[in-house]
Amino acid sequence: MNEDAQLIDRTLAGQSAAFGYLVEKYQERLYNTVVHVVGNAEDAKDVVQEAFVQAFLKLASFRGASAFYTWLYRIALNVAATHRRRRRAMCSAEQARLGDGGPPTASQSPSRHIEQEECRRQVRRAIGRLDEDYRAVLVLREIDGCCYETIAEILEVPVGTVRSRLHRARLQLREELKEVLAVEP
Amino acid sequence: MNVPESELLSAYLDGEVTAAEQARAEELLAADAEARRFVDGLRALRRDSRSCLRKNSTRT
Repeated sequence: MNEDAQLIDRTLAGQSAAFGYLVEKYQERLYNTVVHVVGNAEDAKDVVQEAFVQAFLKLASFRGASAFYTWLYRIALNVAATHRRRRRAMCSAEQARLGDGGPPTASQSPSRHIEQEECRRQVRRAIGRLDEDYRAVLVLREIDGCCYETIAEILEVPVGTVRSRLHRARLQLREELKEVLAVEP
Repeated sequence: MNVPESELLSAYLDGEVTAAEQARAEELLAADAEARRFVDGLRALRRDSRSCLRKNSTRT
């Protein structure tokens, strides 16, 4: 039995502290994916927190047919979708930030730093403009490094759909960023 | 280059193709300069966007 399965069993046996180890193990990784799906740090924190709460409450329904993190990601992406719909409905004007990446380093001129920050901002904005389905596939692949099969499992779509969505997401992103990145049209 | 070909090259870049598809992609890349430019462009896009996004995903 692997470590995750043991922690799940212990949690289900009433040792809820065991779930804390699962949270510790996966929260960073989950956050790093979710932040690009929802587009800002504050919402990402809320989504991650809510995903862990839901995972804890639904843990008895986890059958181990997929890896725990795959199951957890699926929950988080569903929570993120709900969150985004709620956000849109509220028409919030708030454009939350992802963090400024820290001050310029000694070897980096302020103008170069500003240029890089602008580039990052435009990449984030371009990803934010992708359809939700395309964005999820792109983030799972490029940020989390998931293989197509894992992405298919998380999103509950065929592998062929992952492949075509990723292709379309890349084409759209390339078009949006042709002026920003050194990408040929 | 048509859509099935560019989709094949996108998957090829990820190493997510069958042996037959890999052979087809390599054939395409050997014969078609547009295909090579396309793959180079996707590779640059992937590198630059990963670099931008990973730097900004550190939890605060």
